[in-house]
Amino acid sequence: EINLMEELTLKGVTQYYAFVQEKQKVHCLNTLFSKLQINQSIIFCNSTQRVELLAKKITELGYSCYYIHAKMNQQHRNRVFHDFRQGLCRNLVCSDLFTRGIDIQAVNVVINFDFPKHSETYLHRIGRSGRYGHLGVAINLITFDDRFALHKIEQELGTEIKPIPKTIDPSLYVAEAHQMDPEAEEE
Amino acid sequence: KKVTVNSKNNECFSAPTQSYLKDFDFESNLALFNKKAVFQEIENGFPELSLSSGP
Repeated sequence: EINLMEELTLKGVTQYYAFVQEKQKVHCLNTLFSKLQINQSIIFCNSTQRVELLAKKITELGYSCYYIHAKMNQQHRNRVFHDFRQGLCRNLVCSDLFTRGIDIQAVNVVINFDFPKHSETYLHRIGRSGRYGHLGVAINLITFDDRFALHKIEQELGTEIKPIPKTIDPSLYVAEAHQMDPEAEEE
Repeated sequence: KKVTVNSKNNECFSAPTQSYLKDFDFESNLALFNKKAVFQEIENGFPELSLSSGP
């Protein structure tokens, strides 16, 4: 498999963490949903089982969501992903399926419901392919057990994940709040 | 291992939806984690970082 890591960038993505206990994760996510100006969001879990459990929970909370994971057949996955890309649903819960980063312009919020263990996974989830590099916010739910992975990933990617502020400036991730200059786009 | 996974999932997904009426308190939870100190400790005490060494 071709390593496409160098094509991915964290530029333009503001990264935050929220410190939580396992039992607080859904509550935390629910509050994020109510506070953030989500155009489209992708929420990552570390197992297929947790993808299904979380998708069910999100639906119970009154939010619409699709989900995809590795145990679904490719055809089904493709259809769900295609529909999400078309904007038919606001939120997508998934496990690690993307190997090129998310190239959906409409996705302005990515949430790591489960923090990944490896920097490559983190980059695939959060990173954007260079040709876009548009604005987005990434929120990582961090438990005490995640401290080693948090440290490792920050070190390896040479990035900093900051504590989530009381209010997140919409100009960091909401397109309408930030007049983007197409001339300023970098290759 | 299986038991651990299941109990973690139960812990995570079993709370009744009504318990989320109040906003999650980001600030007071952030205050429970001193990232700088924790990182310092990792750098001093665990030169060979191992994820499996967690509790």
